Amino acid sequence: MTLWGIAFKNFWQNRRRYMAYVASAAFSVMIYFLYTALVLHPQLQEGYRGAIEAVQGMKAASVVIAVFTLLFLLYSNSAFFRSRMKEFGMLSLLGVSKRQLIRIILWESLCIGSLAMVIGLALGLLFVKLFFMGVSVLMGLSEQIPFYAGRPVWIQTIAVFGAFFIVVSLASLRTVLSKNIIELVRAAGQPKETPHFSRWKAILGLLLLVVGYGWACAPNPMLVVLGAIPVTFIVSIGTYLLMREGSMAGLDFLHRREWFFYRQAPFLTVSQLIHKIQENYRVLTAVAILVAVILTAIGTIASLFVVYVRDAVKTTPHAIQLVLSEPGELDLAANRITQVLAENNVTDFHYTQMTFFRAEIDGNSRGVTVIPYSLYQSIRAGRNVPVTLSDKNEAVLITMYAFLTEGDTVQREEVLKVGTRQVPLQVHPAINAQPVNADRYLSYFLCVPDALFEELIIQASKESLLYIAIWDVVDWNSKEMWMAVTQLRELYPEYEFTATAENYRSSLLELGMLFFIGFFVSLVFLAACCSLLYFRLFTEIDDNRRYYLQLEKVGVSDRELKKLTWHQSLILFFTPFIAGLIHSTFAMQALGTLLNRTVLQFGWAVALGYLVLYGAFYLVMYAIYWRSLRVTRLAEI
Amino acid sequence: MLVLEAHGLTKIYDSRGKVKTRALDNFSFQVHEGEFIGIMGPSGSGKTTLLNLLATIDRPTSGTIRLDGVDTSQLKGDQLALFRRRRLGFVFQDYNLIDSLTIGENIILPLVLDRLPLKEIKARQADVAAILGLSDLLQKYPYEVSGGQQQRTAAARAIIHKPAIVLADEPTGNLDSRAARQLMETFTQLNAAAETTITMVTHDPFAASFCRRILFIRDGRFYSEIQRGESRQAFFQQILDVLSLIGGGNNDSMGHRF
Ligand SMILES: Nc1ncnc2c1ncn2[C@@H]1O[C@H](COP(=O)(O)OP(=O)(O)O)[C@@H](O)[C@H]1O
Ligand SMILES: [Mg+2]
Repeated sequence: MTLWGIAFKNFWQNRRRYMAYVASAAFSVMIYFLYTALVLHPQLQEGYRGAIEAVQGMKAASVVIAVFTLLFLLYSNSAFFRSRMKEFGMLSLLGVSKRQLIRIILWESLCIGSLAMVIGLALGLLFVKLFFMGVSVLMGLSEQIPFYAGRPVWIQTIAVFGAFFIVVSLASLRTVLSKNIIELVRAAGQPKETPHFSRWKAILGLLLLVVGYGWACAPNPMLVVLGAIPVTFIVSIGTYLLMREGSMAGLDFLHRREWFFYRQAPFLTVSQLIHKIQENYRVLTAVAILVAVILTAIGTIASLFVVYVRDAVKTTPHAIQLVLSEPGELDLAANRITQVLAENNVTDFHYTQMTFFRAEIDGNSRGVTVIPYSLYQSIRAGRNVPVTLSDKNEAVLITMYAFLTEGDTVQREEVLKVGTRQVPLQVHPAINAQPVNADRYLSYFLCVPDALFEELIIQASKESLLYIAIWDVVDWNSKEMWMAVTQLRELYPEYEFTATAENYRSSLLELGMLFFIGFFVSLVFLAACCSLLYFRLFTEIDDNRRYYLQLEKVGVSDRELKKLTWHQSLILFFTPFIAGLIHSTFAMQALGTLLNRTVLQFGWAVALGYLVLYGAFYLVMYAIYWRSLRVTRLAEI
Repeated sequence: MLVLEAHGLTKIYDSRGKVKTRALDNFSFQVHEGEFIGIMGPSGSGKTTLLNLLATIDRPTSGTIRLDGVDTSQLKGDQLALFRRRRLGFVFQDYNLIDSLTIGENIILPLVLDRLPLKEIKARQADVAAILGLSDLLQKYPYEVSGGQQQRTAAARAIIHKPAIVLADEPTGNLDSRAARQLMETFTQLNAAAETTITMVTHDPFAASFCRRILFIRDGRFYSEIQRGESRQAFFQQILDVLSLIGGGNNDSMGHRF
């Protein structure tokens, strides 16, 4: 057999090990290709609304994918070649020279790289149209972004990943050549020792997690922001320590509980887990952290999505609103708007017109818009009124989330200044209970008792008066409304004219796009996780075959072996997922503090989605693994 | 009482594209309760094949095996595994100990698999460990003890569930002469004191000389049979004589062990 024959045979024998690696690398190539196609799309460079943000987002995402993929490839490849040291040792024992060995390794890893590239590009080309369709829908484009996969896209993808595969091949050469191979052949035959563990390290790991989690639960937004980086660091180290020392301590505890341990399933499973912890814990840590990153990132995007889209409706409660400072202009404009609405078949609306004034209070440098309490109540009819006033000298200060600072959530004494008059008030805080559509100018509202309002408005200067017209429409998101809003936008600037539909749609677009981009990146991460675990399973398949054969000889039945494999692989796969889920839960708790509301449920909803995906991956891998294990079982009887 | 009854065992290995190997050809024999039987033959004569058939790890091409009153060809899948773990004990050349279990845990594996109560498991572990001189090693892992100790652990595992018969394939194959002697003395003791029925396959005349009866096999066929008298030395000499007749055997100078 020629040298190439041997090399090919090696590759072929290891094909199952490579499978997940190639699949996950190909997936990265595909996603990178899709993003690049969009980033370099000639028609997106100018033109479409929201395209610039989307392109910027994709650009950033493709850099993240590239960097992550490089790290993943480097790690996996070195793990591969390390697991095959013995084989390379045998080759050199058989008289294969160092130069020949170098050529075998280089060719093998380059071939695998090219395979991943070809598959990735093919899939990318296949899906690019679908991808553009998705983007078009998200951007709310009337016509679809045309197909594009020009030469620059191919060149960029091939250049980036080609360079990666070459770097990775060279790195794998280093892995193999840096060791004295003959020694490794010998070392591989030695039995591995039962791992020991340090109780102190386990306690330290636990302590780090407690500190990290505690910090994440801090009620103060400032503290949470300050903690973002140190907590990530602390929790990562804590995970690393706990995955080895912590699981060892736990398993050791179970090992010593005789009533628990001396039963079939724990007896075999716990002892195997202890036996393999040394090889497993790094991968488990890496996967746990990756899962935490995925769940937190997507959970955050999902939360922002829900919060902002919901806020868009809350901060613009009125379908259409016009704010002017001249009373005469308002009537004219109102007629025009009503006419445009009628042209678009929107006739079923409720019209309100009122006058407010701007004033100042000590605690707020932006100034507040003063409105009568009864109006506030009537405008919010049907919705709950967060605070009721009982005394003449009380007021409600309404703040938008976006402008929320710490002082805005406590009840306090304030002095309202109108003209020359100063009114001391007991101010109650309220959040996002906007009586009218808010914007940068109309962001704080002070509701005062009606009698007080009547007194003050007379004393207010003419420039501080605001004339507001409101059109309430039940079906504010209808097609007709959207047509009308689009037309009206041409007529009035943003500080005069606001519409619920517009605010809602732009939030939807921005965060929807972010979600879309983030989701594909997270899939790249998830594929890497699964590939790491898959590879871990397959590295020790020879060991496991021997182990199963041993058990079978002693009379463990097929069904029991299957159950055993199922338990062990289940633990291997889902321990890191659960760890990552717990991490991300605390991260979501911290995010909740920043957003001033509970977002845990969104985090868990996202986690559930990923659990399904991850579970599906697991089932496929388990099936492949079990089939590979069976190959050399006792003669089928 | 008859523990094992093999009748007309034939095994033909039929690897695709290659010639068929008739590893075992119409081989019949019986083992009575409390017997200690050796099966000898040169390398490639079909000993391992025979033992695998008896161990229900493999099926004969034709012929029947009755073990402990059960026709093993009637057993299917899980039944077979259960039968193996309850009624048979094994000692293999490579010990076949589980790396991840301690010596003590390896010994009790059959009992744990069979879900015996903890108290009973503990009691039997202590008994068996005492008989085989393993009491001080229970907490150690297989890689921490010598080959002889590992094989004695395997022997302990083979007898702890009181099987109908213990099957051993070249149990001394990986041991030095001191450990081999110790193991064979243990087997003799188990056979004499506990009335354990043992069937051992070996090509080592020294190990075989501890048996009470030896069947010789050649090219998969029954060749001859000898019974041991009072003296083991004389029996050893007898074995060497038969082996030299069979040819291709191992009549190298092993007398120095005495
Ligand atoms: N799985 C198998 N496939 C094909 N031939 C086999 C197989 N196992 C054993 N043989 C052949 O059967 C014959 C007997 O082998 P074996 O029972 O291992 O002999 P022994 O244990 O006495 O050395 C040998 O010729 C061997 O090559
Ligand atoms: Mg043999």
